[in-house]
Amino acid sequence: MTVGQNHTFFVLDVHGEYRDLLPLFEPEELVWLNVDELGINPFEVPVGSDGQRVMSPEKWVNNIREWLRLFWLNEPSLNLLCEVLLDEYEQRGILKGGDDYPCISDIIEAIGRLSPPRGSDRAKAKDKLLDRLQSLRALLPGLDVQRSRDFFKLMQHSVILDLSDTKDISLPVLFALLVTLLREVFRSDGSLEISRMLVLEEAHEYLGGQTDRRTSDLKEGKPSSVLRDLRKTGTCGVVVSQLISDVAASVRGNLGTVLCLRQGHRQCMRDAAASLNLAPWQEAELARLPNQHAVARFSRYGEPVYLTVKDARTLFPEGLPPPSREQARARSRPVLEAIPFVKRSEPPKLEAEADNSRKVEGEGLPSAGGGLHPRELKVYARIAEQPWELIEDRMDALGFDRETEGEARAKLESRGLIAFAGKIGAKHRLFELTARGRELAATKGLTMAKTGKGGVAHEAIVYYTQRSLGRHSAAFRFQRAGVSPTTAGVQPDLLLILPSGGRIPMQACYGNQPSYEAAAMLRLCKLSQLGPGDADKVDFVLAVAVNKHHRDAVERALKRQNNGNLPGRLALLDFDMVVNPEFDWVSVFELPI
Amino acid sequence: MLSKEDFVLTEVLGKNLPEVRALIAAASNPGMEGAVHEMLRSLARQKGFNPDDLPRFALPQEISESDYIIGTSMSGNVVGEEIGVSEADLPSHIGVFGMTAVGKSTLVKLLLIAFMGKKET
Repeated sequence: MTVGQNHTFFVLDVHGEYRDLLPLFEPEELVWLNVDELGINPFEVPVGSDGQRVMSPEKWVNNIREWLRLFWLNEPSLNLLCEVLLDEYEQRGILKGGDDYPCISDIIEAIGRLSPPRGSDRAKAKDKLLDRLQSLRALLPGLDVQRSRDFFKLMQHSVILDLSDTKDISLPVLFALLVTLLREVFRSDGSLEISRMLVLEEAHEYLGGQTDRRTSDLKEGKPSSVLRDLRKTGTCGVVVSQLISDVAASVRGNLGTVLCLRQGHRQCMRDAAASLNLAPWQEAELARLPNQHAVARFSRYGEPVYLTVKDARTLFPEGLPPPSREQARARSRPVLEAIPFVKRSEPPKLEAEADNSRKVEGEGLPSAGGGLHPRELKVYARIAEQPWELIEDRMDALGFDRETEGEARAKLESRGLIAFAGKIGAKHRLFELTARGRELAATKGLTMAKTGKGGVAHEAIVYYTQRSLGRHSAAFRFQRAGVSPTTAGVQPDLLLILPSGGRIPMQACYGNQPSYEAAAMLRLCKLSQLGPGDADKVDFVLAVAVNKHHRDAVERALKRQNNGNLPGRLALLDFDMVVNPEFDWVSVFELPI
Repeated sequence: MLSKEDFVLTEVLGKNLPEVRALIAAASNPGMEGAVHEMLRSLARQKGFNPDDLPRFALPQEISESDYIIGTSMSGNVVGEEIGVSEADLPSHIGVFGMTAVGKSTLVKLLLIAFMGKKET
């Protein structure tokens, strides 16, 4: 066989750095697409080279089950998903050969229509499942399509899948789906000849060896089976990673060829030396390798080989910049249009959805604006106005009990109008409007809160700290926007002004690295050492972390950066302390306030 | 017995070379260590190595032809043959590891271009 004949490759381009390959290939040979254009419906049974389903829908559900296990779904949630999915298949005639497959949004709606008793295990499974599927839809919108591209036809071309806009969290899920599709679509190919390369950039994200619940299944023995699956589909996996030690040992041990460029980490040098079969005196060379030099172990040589990699300038014509994304998209459009997918049809009108929902639930309550029940509308308006509000406070404000508020919120969530926005403290959950929810709120003229770039949880910390301090003393004044001092290079989230004129800047710790938060606090603390007449003088610094765990991490970082001590004029609290009505502020400030 | 320095020399020169094999055998005779040491250093010089600044890797012996060339083997300043991955290597997969900006992606691109049968420009 001529080298290159009928060969293809598929690159998971995590950093968007493979577009410069495009000019070297004909548009029909190599296509570029980003994850939004992937157009694969995971709930659709793929078809093989003969255009027939590769397996029955009932069997495909088992693949879905194994795939979504990676997305933090437990057994009860997976059982519920399979049940709903099989129901949908039956209703849509899929089991009898139909092809009106449900997409992710359809399954979310079907799950939302379930009414398990509140507090039951099934209700918990439903909430968890809804939460995960909504996250999946938001993270990988290219999977929420009505009809998939023909995966078999797509794989007849080489593909660069640009994942530079995709969050790390979704990489293992996407990778596992691709491996499942490859395994099921190409397993029956019959040929064991390698005709395809699958390049796995940042491979530790999906073939890692650390203890991470998210990918524990992939890591506890699955990695080597993934490589075996790839081989059986005629695919050579090219595992690329900065840190060899972060790739599972079962993967490293199964790589026939290892190409190792310069290593900077001692553990990586040790692991690389073991993989390359290096002698003790050769190991140190790994840290001294110049760029474009590598030590390689090929399966056909017993000894490691030192090699200088070909000059890249022989590959890419000089002065030819890599095409932009737009150019890449335009270049690949004709090929991809010949392998179409069908986007999800516009969601039905909210009125119709609500009617349908009530029919299922057996209610007959009058509808309010947007087809929402008045109770749902009240919760919806409240979340639009104050997304940082805790559920208990919303219940008090609306006069709802927990069950009523929870039911209304679950309905709004199942209709895609609100979504989980983060956890705060030990047990509080926050919700905010989705893009669709904001659209409806705008048409209904509802007041919508503006949250800063810190997001809803950040706002919640500031709001509840201010409320707690305000309850402590009516004489306190607060300043939010344009808070000074800024001379420390840090703009506090809130400035508390004491009746005496003393000033206490408050910093909300959420979302940033503890070391970054600690550095900001230390800069503010230095301002407490200024003279009494200085305009930037502060009396005390207050920091409130999103939870106890984050507070402890910030405290450790502070000690690291401050010679092992905590700064004297600083109070580091967590959110649960602040929302506790019994919290003693006097002892915190050590001031007569 | 070979000293550690001489052991490294035999590794770098290649234990399969007949001269090296003979010197390793000679070193097992008592009193021959000094002579073997000098002869190994002399052999290294003949092969183009500086025995006081030895490379840590030997050139591969009996290279079989590679299907997908990615570089050239080296030992110190001595340049060997072009080398790469063969068809037979592919079923057992490939790992590419290294710090950032040292050439991982370039190496992978070289491999893909070779795999697709593309010629260099």
